[in-house]
Amino acid sequence: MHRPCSAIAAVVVLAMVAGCDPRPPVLVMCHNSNCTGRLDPSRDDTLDALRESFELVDSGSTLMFDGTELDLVWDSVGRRCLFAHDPPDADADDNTLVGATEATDEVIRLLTLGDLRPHNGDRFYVKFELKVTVDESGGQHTASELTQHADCALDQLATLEQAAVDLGLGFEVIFDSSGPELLNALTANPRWPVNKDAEPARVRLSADFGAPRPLMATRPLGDFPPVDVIEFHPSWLTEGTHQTYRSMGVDLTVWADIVTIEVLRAVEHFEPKFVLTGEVPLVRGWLER
Amino acid sequence: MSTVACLGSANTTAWADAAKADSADRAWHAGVNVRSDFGTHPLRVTGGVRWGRIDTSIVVDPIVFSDGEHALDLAGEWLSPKADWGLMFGWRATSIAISSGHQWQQKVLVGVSAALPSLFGGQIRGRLGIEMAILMAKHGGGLPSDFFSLQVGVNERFHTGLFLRFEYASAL
Repeated sequence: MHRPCSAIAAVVVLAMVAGCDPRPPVLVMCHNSNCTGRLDPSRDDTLDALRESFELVDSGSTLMFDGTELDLVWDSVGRRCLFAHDPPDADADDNTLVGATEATDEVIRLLTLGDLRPHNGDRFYVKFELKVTVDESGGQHTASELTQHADCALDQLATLEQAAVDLGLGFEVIFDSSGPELLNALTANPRWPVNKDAEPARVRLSADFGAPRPLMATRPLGDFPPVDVIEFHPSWLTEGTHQTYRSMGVDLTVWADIVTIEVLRAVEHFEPKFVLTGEVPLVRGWLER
Repeated sequence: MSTVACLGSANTTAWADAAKADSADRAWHAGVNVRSDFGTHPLRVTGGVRWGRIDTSIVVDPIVFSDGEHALDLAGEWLSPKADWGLMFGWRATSIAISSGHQWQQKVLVGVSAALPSLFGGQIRGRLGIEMAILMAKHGGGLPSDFFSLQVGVNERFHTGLFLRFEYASAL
């Protein structure tokens, strides 16, 4: 007579006993250099948001995060490399545009000025996402623009290598893109480091995946050169694909603008190396509760 | 009431009532709500009351003790005449323990459910459902608040999930 209820009670108790608190040891990255938790995409990839994000300190000079993302756009109209989320509008005021070098220099200045250290205490991670469009109509890179964009990215690496020496701080520089042609242009460049593990600035290559086709023009992994990291949004990753990534031995990055309970539980499940988020204080608070 | 039903003395009348509960105008029910998506813990405890074609329920989360995350659902269902199908609506309040307190995430729930064959001679009834949880607000924990907006992360505010409910039911 009591069997049905007993079975239900047993399942509940088992679930409670089996439950645990598996906060994974992830590295937290500042999404689009705009990660204070005030969700305003119009401030993505701006110097103001970058500076505010670097005010997120746990105590003293320890940042709440381990690194930041800087988006690099090749502007085909102005023939320049910009720190921006998208190519500028035709009527954009040139004075509001920020060059890639200016953004990299600002990161170094902020680290230096506050004697700031990453949360992990050991290494600061800078992820450059090389954007695939070059104008406001969504145009793609020409062969020449691919080379120029890759050159710009490698200029940032050279700057960070010097900063690593000056600051006495290890760096890891991750070049990421959803466009395999851009990653191919990087690795084909004569300045691409022979030894990616050379200190003080290690280098990594990352493939970036958004929503699956036909929602987005996401490219298959097979189009990319061998990568060290794969970035994905947890809403779009199937378990089969997750297992495939695991079997490849690559590191994983979970990105999310809005951190919901679904995202946090996905972090527990997928155990990525990086969480890239606009809500660093929430993720840090969750990791350290 | 589930405590009474599970731990109380033998009561054959109550179990007989369970088999009749599906056809009763008024019934109470208690059981478990299980799911595989990341929206809540995989198993929660549910209880509620049915009045005619309206079924109300509350879902609580005993696994909160393991990680400080709790999802409380208050839901109603409008049932078809034979209770084969139901349209679900409700609210989910999720509390996430963080170092500075708790952040709350408030969601609207909409969904449909269908009756499954009964178990244990009709004493345990099941329902299979699909729901969409829409994030309306985040607040608390000393962090910036966020309210539903079509400008920010629209696709990140909508989450779908499948759930199964197994309940003991008894006529009131």
